Amino acid sequence: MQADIVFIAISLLAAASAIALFASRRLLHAVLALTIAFMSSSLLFFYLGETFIALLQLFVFVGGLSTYLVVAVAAEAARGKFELYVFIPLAVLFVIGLSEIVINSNLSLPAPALPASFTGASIEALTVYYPVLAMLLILLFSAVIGSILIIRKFVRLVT
Amino acid sequence: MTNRNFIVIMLGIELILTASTIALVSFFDYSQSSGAGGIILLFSIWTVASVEIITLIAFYVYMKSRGFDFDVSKLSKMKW
Repeated sequence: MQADIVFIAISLLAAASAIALFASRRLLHAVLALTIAFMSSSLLFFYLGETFIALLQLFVFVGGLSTYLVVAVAAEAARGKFELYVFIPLAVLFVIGLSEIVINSNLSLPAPALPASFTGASIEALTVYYPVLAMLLILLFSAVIGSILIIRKFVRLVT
Repeated sequence: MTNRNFIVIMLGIELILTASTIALVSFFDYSQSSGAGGIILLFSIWTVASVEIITLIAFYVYMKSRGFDFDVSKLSKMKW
């Protein structure tokens, strides 16, 4: 019963953050709403019993990419009257609250993890699916190179 | 509810990709598949999402520096 309530709460949080993304007038608020959507999807993975995927989602998307987005957008917003530090205590309270909910409730369902064994799945991924992995690496590499080229053009424009 | 900001549209695509990962993981949980196909598909979605954010930031900084309007209804062609 408690797990159901937590699941409904997480789902509502995800839906509300998705609506807030489009409804917000400021870009920084939209980015923060996307961060909350990433966090709630990570909590849903926890709920499904996929701890590894949930942690990956949390570290890569919430910890890495969302921070990257927030810093980039806030750097532009800081030129105006917006002050980012207002959100820091709110963010800390939010993370502590969510952690309390996750730790104090038995969120995992009696469902099996995504692959039966991560070792077997990893070996299969590196042998059978290696062209896909190579394509993904090329895609990431080309995106990084393209971004560097665009940023260099911007730096040349400024200086 | 319509938002014509280019960045918000791209963030919406990011949201769609996140929703697709939730659907994917739920499906593979339901089907109790033990292969690596689900993981590879998940990594593919994550890679596309990461690439989108990387390029989005670069475009955002570049367009902001050039003084472009982010309203997509005012964009008629791509300029370099």
